[in-house]
Amino acid sequence: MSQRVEASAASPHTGPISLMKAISLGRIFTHLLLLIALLVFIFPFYWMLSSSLKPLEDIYIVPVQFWPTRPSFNNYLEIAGLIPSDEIDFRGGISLIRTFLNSTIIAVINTAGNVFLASLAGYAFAKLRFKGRNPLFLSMLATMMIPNSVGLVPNYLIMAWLKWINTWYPLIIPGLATPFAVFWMRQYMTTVPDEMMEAARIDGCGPFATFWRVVAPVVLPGMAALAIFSFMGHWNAFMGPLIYLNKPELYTLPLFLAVMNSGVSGRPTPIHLIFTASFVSIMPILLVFLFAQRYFIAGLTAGSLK
Amino acid sequence: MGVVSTPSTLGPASIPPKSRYFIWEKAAPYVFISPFFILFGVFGAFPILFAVWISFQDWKSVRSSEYIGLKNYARLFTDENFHIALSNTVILGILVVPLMVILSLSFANVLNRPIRGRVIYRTAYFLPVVTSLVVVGILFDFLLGSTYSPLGSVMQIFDIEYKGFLNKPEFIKPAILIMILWRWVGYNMMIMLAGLQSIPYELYEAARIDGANGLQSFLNITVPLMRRVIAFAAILSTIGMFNIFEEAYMLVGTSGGADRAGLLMGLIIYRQAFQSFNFGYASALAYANAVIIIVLSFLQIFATERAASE
Repeated sequence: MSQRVEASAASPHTGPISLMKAISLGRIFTHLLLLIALLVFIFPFYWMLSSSLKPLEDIYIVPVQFWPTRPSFNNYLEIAGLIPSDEIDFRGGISLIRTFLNSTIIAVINTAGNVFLASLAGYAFAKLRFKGRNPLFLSMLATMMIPNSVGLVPNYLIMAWLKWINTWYPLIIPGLATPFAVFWMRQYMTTVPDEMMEAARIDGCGPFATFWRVVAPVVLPGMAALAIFSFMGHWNAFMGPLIYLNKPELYTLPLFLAVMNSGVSGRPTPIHLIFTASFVSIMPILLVFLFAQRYFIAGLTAGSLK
Repeated sequence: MGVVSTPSTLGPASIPPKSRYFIWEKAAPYVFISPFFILFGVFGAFPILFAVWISFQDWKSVRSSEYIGLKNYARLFTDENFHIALSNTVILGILVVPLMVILSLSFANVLNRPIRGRVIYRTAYFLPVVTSLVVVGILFDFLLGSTYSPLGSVMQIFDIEYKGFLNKPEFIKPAILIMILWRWVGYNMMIMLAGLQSIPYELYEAARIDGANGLQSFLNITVPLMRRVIAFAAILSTIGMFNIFEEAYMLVGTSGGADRAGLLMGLIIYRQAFQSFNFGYASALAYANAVIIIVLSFLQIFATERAASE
């Protein structure tokens, strides 16, 4: 790709005429459109950030303040419980820190388990020969055509029979085994040369040691992309927590934010704190995204196969 | 190396059968896939079949149900909410899918060129894709629904009275449309970019030498060569429309808002299952939804392949 870029970047400079073209009206127009689109995509984030620095009165005001006139970090201190607040406490005094931890625990366990199980199964499907390999793999792929909504009710009944309602198990256990993850890891595993595994075996590695010490390190980039994809999915998941969790102390971030925003707690929506909490809740993903963009895009656009 | 160059030598043949290693090596594949398949079987595959049985039942509670045959499916024909949700979903889909394809392909096409700052544009356009849908919902709920939205200030410039869009039925679909496009255009743009990068640059060079302008080479080179990628993005967006839940839930709630203008398939399935606890009917709805999705996907694939073979 980079070669292509160089080739095309060089072309406008081949002569004075094409140089003139390069700074033509068309180019300015293109940039103008790109900038307007940029503003449209960024503005909601900007609004969330600037509102998080305002007291409530400065949000509920006309004309609106695009720039906070008296910016302060009070909202952040308030949601962290460092200064007293009667707004953030709702239905049993659950703090944002608690829900942040809840989300982290669920997403981390899920991500680790999902990557490990999918790597093991993906390795078997890509590199080991066994009876029933292809039928099993194909039928697993076939289930990906069925939308998740079909599984909603049956899963709920299974969870009810297991007495798992109002626990984290329904949010953790099914997410450990997703067909997409196996498919993804299998694709990576097929690129590992068979000779590497042979060499490992001659050196006395058993099947698991071959997988763990030889193959896994090679497919680490694939695991990283899957881990990011999986972590983001669980961090942002909403419907599962909405269905399975009633106790505020078990809430995850999205559920906590949605409940606060709906004003179910009986109080008027404390929108300045909701914007602040929203911004805090997207920070981890945003930071990982900005630093590991490559893995993000690889995982997400391939995730489209789902 | 030469001795062990084929995958078949990975089999047990070359190992002394007496060792325990032999048994472990034979069993290993099954051991490796079973943690996944046990969990996937219980929570992924079995529920798909279980849902069929559930859809033939009338559920009194979590534990008791009665066989009622196809009555849940018959109910689809008389359920007004289902008809409204289906038509809303189709109307929104007809608007979303072409707009999504046009916008994402245009952005991708421009950003595939060596334009200054393209990494920044690309990153910014992709940012909404990684953001929680609940947070996106909270933002758009305020920006499109609140009297105190900055949108009001923009409206004031044009002297339009503004009291929030989300309480008026005629504005609910446009609001959901805007939110869907904002959130997903960057995602589709990345798919399009991946496709564009497989088109050899020489084709554009040759076209330019032949005197084709930018629009001509876009229509005569990019679009035909991108046909499959465009169809892929269109199919994904179509499937997405029938699965939308969070976007509508955050903007209009499970009721679908004023005049049920925002009632979508995802909302009525959730509502029947977890607000009315009609497990049987909810499963019938979910299966009807799945059949519509699969039929539409195959139609789109079929149309693309036929167009490609002409």
